[in-house]
Amino acid sequence: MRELLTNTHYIVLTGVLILMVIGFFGALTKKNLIKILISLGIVDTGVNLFFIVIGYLNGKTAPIFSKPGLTPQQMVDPVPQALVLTAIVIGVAVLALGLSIVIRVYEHYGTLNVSKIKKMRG
Amino acid sequence: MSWFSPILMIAVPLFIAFLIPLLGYIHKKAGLYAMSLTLLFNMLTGFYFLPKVMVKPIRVIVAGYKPPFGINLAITPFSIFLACLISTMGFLVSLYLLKDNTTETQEKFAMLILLVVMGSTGIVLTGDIFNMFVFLEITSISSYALTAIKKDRKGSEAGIKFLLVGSISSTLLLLGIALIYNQLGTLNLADIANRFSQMNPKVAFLAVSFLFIGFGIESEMFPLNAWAPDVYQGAPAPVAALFSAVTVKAGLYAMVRFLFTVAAKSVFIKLLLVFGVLTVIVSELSALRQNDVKRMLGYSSLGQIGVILFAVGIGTADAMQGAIFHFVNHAVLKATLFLSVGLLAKAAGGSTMEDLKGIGKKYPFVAGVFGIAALGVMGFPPLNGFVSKMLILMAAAKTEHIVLIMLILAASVIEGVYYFRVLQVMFKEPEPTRIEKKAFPVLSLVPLVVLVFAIIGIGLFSGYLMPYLKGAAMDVMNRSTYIAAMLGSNGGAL
Repeated sequence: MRELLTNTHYIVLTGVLILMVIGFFGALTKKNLIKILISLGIVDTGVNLFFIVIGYLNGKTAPIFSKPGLTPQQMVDPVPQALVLTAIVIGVAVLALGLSIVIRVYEHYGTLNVSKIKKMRG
Repeated sequence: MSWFSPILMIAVPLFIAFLIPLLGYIHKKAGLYAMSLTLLFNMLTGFYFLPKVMVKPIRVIVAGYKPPFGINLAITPFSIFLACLISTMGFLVSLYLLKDNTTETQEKFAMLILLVVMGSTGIVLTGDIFNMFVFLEITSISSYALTAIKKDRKGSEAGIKFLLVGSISSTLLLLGIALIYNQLGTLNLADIANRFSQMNPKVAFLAVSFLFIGFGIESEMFPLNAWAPDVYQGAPAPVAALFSAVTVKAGLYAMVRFLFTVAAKSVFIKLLLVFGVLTVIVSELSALRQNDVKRMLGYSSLGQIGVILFAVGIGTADAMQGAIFHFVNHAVLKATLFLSVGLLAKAAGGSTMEDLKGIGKKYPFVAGVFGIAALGVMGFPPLNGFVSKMLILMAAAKTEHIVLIMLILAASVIEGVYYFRVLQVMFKEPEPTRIEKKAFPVLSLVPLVVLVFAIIGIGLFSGYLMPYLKGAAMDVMNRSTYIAAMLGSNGGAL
């Protein structure tokens, strides 16, 4: 880490870890396609939160010149926030496309159970 | 001509892609023609810059922020070489699609194909790791949509599998990028490469592992490629051709660029050697027991990628040259196979062995094209597959990986078995009576003719390609030249 870690960092990092474990656990154990997509969404949230923690500096403010006299030294790192914004948009796109393909799958198979959607094998 | 910069290879397709739905109002076919013309433009731009970049790498700075700040394009011999390959294959597939009316949603088709080619071009041209991730996502999301575009049972199933695996890959990539940014505070590839040794070794190992798995999924490496045969079988044939000729190449580029130029971790390069050989053996054995020819071609494609990964894993300049040559040959051969099977399967009404019985007597030209490409994949002497396999095996022999060479050659024998089985079914069985002979549209045959000439031409005149291959291989092997060219004289110290 470039900066010293504070207690806030550790609390949020624990949250990141919990979110990612829940997400991966759900993605691997759930049988319902929609639940799997939701689990992957939770993992994504965890990663996004991780990005935010990286840029967070204790006691500093948002990287916007909202008040006169605010200098860049008083702000948190803006780059991770820009990256997270992009990552959120990508996550939404994947989720939307995923759900629309799930609708197609349901039309053809009449089920959302992944262990029954196995026409292609070999 | 200062306005004429390689960034147009990304900007123009992106602009046209979002214009295509509007063009549909003018004329039903306008979108398809716009797609072909844009890809032709991309191809010409690529070939215009190819000789220039071979002499001196180009660095395109966006919005006036000098590297390592801001976003920049890092155009080195390896990247421009692959950009040319990607846009050429994209153009040929788009010609095939002009008269192909497999789907009623032609505007969406044209738009998605442009986005796939644009995303892949972006991956090879960019000099920024987060940009690479974004382009990878553009490519992947369009690929999911293209896989499921036919609204049939197979396409939907393959599409959802592809999407689930792909989103895990993107999560891992993002985590790896986050770890690197946390340690170095930069996203510029050359800057990361320059200061990679300053990272905490444990964090660096974790980050490289995440990115290795993420790029491994994109480049269809063995334990991570279970989704790929489904996608090749479920997607329409031209889309499968596009995937094996374009998107996989971009994934492989990302893998090679990251492992060789940025991270330079010899452990992971050795891992590629092992996984490459495993990929070859497992895929060729799986291909042997397929009944659906498209699925068989998918497995065979994975086998060829295994050969490329094996060559990359050897890690010498000679082997890298062979690997890059195999990039080209694999793209040309697999595109030919998928496109010809696509035409035959459309005529026969299916792509299983029973459907294709005796089809070679009905359509001798297209089936003959398939035969030549099959011989090329197996590595018959005058054809292009032979030259690159020979280069790779000779480089492997120099580094004394004798057991691995034997395994690769054994896999090639298996390859011969199943391709000859298909050819026998096509040409030896009696001519089917249920199929009415129809002529194929000329525009669909043009790419096949061009590709067959490429298969034979590259095999006979491979000498003309060698300087470019050598330049690209040198670009991969010398990471210090890449760093110096991209960061300028001050070495990029922050």
